[in-house]
Amino acid sequence: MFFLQKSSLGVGSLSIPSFCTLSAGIFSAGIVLSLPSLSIADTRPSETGIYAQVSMGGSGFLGDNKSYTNPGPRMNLHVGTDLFSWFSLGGRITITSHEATVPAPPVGEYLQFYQAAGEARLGLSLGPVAFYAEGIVGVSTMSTNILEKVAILDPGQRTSLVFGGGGGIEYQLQNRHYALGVMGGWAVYPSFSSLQTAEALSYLRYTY
Amino acid sequence: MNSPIKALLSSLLFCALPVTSTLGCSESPVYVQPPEALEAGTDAEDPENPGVNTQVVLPIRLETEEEATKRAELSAELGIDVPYIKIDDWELSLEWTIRNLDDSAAIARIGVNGANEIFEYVPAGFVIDPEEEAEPPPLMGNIPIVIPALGSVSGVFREDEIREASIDLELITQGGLNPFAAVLGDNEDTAEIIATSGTIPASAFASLIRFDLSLLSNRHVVMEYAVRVRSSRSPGLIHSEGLSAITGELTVFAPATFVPPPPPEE
Repeated sequence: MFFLQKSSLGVGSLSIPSFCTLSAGIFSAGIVLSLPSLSIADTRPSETGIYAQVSMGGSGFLGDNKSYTNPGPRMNLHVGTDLFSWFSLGGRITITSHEATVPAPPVGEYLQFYQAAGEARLGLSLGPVAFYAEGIVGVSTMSTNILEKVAILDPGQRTSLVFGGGGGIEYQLQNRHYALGVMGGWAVYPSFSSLQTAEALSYLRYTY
Repeated sequence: MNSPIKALLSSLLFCALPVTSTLGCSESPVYVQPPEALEAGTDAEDPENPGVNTQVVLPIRLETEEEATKRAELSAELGIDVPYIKIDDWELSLEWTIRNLDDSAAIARIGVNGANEIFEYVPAGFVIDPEEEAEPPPLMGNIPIVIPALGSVSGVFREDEIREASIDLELITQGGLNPFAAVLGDNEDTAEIIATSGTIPASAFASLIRFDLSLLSNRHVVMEYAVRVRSSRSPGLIHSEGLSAITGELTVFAPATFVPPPPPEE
């Protein structure tokens, strides 16, 4: 519209209506020209590539087995790579600790889960906010046999495959390498009498 | 090395270190949980009320060739028979819970004796004339425990108590110490025992490998118990399948009942 107005102007014959038309055109042009720069200011460019992530939070047992432990702290360390802006592959190691609440004795004892798993993530970015869903498969082991007492473990059994899924919301910081997020997940351990756990964590991610 | 690969490797190292150091700890506890509880006081009106007894034999894996070789070398060096299970090889604790099934308060006593791989301790064996002599105390326990009506009480014989009980048993059987002096004294820091076979350093003291439990109560009570083992050997000394392990995969000990020497003739 501005260019059409401009093409109709004759030099040295600027009337007041024409001046108003010109001013409106310049203002419009200013908006149009400034749009790209506004767009740049609003986005939070994020790196894609190899990333490391540390997550801290808590987890607990679900279902019939939840009375045998108290929820406890959990830490995940993730390393992976963004194959595309929307798909990542990686691995994680996890440590959780729970107070055992099996029928006494023993009383006041703790057990730890150690887990190593591969993870695949599907992501979607909306400006500075990103969402993702993930699936995991790996191996988990328990530090003690204390859950033998409630038949979650068989004698000699300490290791199980683990399958799980989850998702998270991530906020990209001004620094293109860093993002903060929260994540939740669920997992099942087939060899531990199909024990199920849930987790909720907050995390810091660094992308190289 | 280009920077992304270097960054990935340093991340993996950063992640792996705390996990490997944690998993590397060989002292994670193992619980030996006998399937049957101990029930006492069902005939509390009986003035004799002898209580009930049971044995817990720890399911110890077979000795490896490497361990046997090292033990033989140490035996030759010290000039004594070094036991397979020594007090420094593990830490034991015995956890218990007594439930009172009666609607009035109960008083119970737990007595803990036991055996190492050489000798078992039987207090009654020290009594020649039951009418004249008191029986020596058990290695641990024999303390009155009050359990509220229909309530429960939990407790533990700690690692240091069981370690000292092992030393007491060595003092009684190898050192010829009077059982009253051994059990009632503080012998935790005993450095060596002068035995007839030679001088036994603390590093070669045999550990308890069997618990003989007794439960006495004036009311109907049930005691559940578990032995917690933290082995400092790798692999751990308790068989991975615990009490479910098949017999051929467990070490069988045959400790002799210790018979004290007769008193000197006057």
